[in-house]
Amino acid sequence: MEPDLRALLLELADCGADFVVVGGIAAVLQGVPLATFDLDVVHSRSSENVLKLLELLARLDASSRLRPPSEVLRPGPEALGGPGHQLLRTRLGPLDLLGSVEGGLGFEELEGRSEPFLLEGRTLRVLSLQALAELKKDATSPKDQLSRLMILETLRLKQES
Amino acid sequence: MDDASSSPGHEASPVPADAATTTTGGVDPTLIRWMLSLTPEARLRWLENVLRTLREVRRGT
Repeated sequence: MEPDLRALLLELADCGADFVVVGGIAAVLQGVPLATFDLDVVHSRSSENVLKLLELLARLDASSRLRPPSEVLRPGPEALGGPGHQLLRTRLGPLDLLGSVEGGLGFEELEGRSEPFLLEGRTLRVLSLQALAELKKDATSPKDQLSRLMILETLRLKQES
Repeated sequence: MDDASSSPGHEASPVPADAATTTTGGVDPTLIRWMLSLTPEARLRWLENVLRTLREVRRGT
């Protein structure tokens, strides 16, 4: 099955979990012309939220991308309740569930720096361009540095218009 | 025409007459202006089109 990041995003929204969209999809939704292959979200690590995510992961046939496709290994509640990154393959495409990002920032810190976006009748929380650029300010990889440049230029052009 | 299927530089794309003729740092302001003219849903469709094209190129179709 071909990846369908939009459908993946909608499934996440529909499961009722609390999360903030970060990474390339957050940038694209706000007008940054970046190609990205996965959906990155920072989720709330509350036990209620983790349960919602576990049910969603089961429906999506999720398993760790760090293991071979033949070996289905799905994160449990302890993993989703921690600050680490769960890099998953799902039947709708790659999904990264992040307990925290640079600087140890989690859902609670990022939610206040996110903006609501309406997508097919659902309201999503998307990390602001300013916050995305700040997360990448110490990036050393050329890909992240270019992404940051594009985010900053998009911010400049948005403010200009 | 689907706004997400067109691309900057085509006749349908709004490139301001006073746009700079040179860029630095590998960032294309015309592409960004075009993306900003789209709705968030259309921006996602643009990404889907890019990824579909990349997959087709990789498959050699």
